[in-house]
Amino acid sequence: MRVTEGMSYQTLLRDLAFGQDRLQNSQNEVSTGKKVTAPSDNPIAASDIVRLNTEGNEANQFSKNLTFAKAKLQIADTALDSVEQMVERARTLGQLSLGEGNPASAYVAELNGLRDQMVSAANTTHAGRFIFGGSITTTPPYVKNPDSSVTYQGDNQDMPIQVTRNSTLQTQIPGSEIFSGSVDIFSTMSDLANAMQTGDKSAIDAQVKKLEQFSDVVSVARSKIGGYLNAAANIDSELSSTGLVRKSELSQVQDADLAQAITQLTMNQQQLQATMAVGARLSQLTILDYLK
Amino acid sequence: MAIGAIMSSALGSLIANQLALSVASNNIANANDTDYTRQRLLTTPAGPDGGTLGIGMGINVIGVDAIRNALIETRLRQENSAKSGADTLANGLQGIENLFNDTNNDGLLKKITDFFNSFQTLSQDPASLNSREQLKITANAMIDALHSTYQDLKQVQTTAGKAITADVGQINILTKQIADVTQQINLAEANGPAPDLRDRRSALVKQLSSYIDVNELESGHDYQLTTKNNHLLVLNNTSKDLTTSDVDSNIGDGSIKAELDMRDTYVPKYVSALDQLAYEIQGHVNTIHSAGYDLDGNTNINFFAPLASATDASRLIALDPAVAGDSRKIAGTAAMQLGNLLHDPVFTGGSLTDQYGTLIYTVGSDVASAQSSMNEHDQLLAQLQNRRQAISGVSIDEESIQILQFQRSYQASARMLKAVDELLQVTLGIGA
Repeated sequence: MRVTEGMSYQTLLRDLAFGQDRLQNSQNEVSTGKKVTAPSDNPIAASDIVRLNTEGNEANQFSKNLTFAKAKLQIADTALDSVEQMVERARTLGQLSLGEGNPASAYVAELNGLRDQMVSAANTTHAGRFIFGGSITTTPPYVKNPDSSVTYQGDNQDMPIQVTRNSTLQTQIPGSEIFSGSVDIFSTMSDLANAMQTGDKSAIDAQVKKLEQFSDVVSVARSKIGGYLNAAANIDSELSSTGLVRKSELSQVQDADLAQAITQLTMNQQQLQATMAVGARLSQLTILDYLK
Repeated sequence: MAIGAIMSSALGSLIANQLALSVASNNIANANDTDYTRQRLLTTPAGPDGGTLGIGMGINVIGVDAIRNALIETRLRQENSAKSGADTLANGLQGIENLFNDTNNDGLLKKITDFFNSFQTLSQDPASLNSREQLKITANAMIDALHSTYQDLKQVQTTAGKAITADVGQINILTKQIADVTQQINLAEANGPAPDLRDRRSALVKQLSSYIDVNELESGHDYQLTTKNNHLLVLNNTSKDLTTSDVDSNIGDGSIKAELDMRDTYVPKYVSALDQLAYEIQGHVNTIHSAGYDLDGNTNINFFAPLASATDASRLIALDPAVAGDSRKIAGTAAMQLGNLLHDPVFTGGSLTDQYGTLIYTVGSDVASAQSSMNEHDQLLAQLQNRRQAISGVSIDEESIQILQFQRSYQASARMLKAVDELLQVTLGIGA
């Protein structure tokens, strides 16, 4: 083929432009550490990246939900722990009042105090919300009436939250399943106080038995909460292990192999230098130098 | 053969070599013009002098010839159209790709995810007014992102439409110039070849071909340019203006076709995918939301203002006025179910993320194929340009050697004249 100077220079210009382009691409890859920075770099990888990022964002939210649930469940557990102690004390008081020569009035006063504490335990809050009122969280679930009876104003609904795509976690147990469930602790305690006042031993005995039943209810509730907390811990480790898998998957589709990228960068650099060197030689080649 | 005849043959040679030198000079002067076609002086032996020996009378100059290959010129022009179209499309699509760059976890999908995650946060504490306000903020951020993506896409569409108008204007200017040059060619060629004017015209046609692929037809003194869908552009010395209504998808390659594709194919495709997404978000959220209860026990409340169809959904999507006015109207009881819409496979094509991923894939592969087509045409064009240069380009080395050659011939012709002069002196001296 006939080759003109113009062709050589045009080819040189194109080669330089290509070389610069390749160099810039590998520079980008090295400096961002990513091999996919735009969908067109690899459309399939881009849609994977988008999916993995969303999964990650969703998992972050699940993890926040989980933290919230754990805090709330722990507060419920602490509250129920003190409830157990109160019930134990109330039972002791009942048994003490069965003994001879013990002044019932002192026990009654303590029992009434315990009952008030029980009301406030049943009205425990987490982040300003009542945790034993079912889905009614902004008003106290247990209200002490003027006649000192206590009524439940919550409902019996659960408050589950989503913690993985496929599972929810209960964050509370409604008061209607604990304080005013099979045994109403508040009426039991006031019945006990009345029985102690009148010294009706069989009635005291009956109420103490009820207290024991309530104690069982509370320990069932506590073991439920323990179960939820256990599940929360499992899900937590599941979230972090799937998070690791996802991160490594994301890194595989998105991240540049740095060693390879730097090698490529060096190669492209050398190629461009070679092209430039050829260009310098090109201008030295002319017949005019020999026509003297 | 008479001595005078030798003298005139030597003179003819002197003139021919001088002309050849000026052609070489013109070639060298235009060596760097890629549209220039190298020229050669055409000569022929002058033929016998009519004597019995048939000795030649020297050289006849016929004219100047431009060395070009019509086939390559045509291919080059077509490839120029294809390359220009591919460039325009790739650049336009890259602009759109930037709107969907979610690979950095910071795009439209992130806003959508934030919105649904806010429902999950609300489900922790449905009574919280803070969470409700936060939900409205993320909902509005998502709505704004949908609106602005829609606007940006429409902007690309409008820009493409304006570019078509501008290109049609450029085409009309060029066809006018081509008609003018054609007239000059016809005038000049009445007296002899006009290679420089023809170069000028083919440069103009080449320029035209970056906007639109054309058919060039020349027979005798008639010259005609038409578009691929048979609109007449130039006939001899008159040009006919193209109008935007002549531009349809059969117009042939070139930047105008690429702009047409952007305006009528690519942008509508992405807008309708975005509309579908917005419409389905609106529909699914409203269905679940209206089954839930707000803070005051009301039900049957829409979260988004209901949309009748997917048409323009990404432009029209907005909060329902009730929810926008009072965050207590948000159905807290449905919060968890609404949050789960982010991964529930109830959207067309799977989950919301799947649907969005398909859009990203479509945009990405459109851009990737436009880019590879651009690179491919770039290669082809470069090859054709090299082939054209191989035939029509000026080689300085070649011209340098020819200068030497013509210079020597000129010197030899001059020497001939001197010899004839000496002969004449001898002849004239006979009588003295």
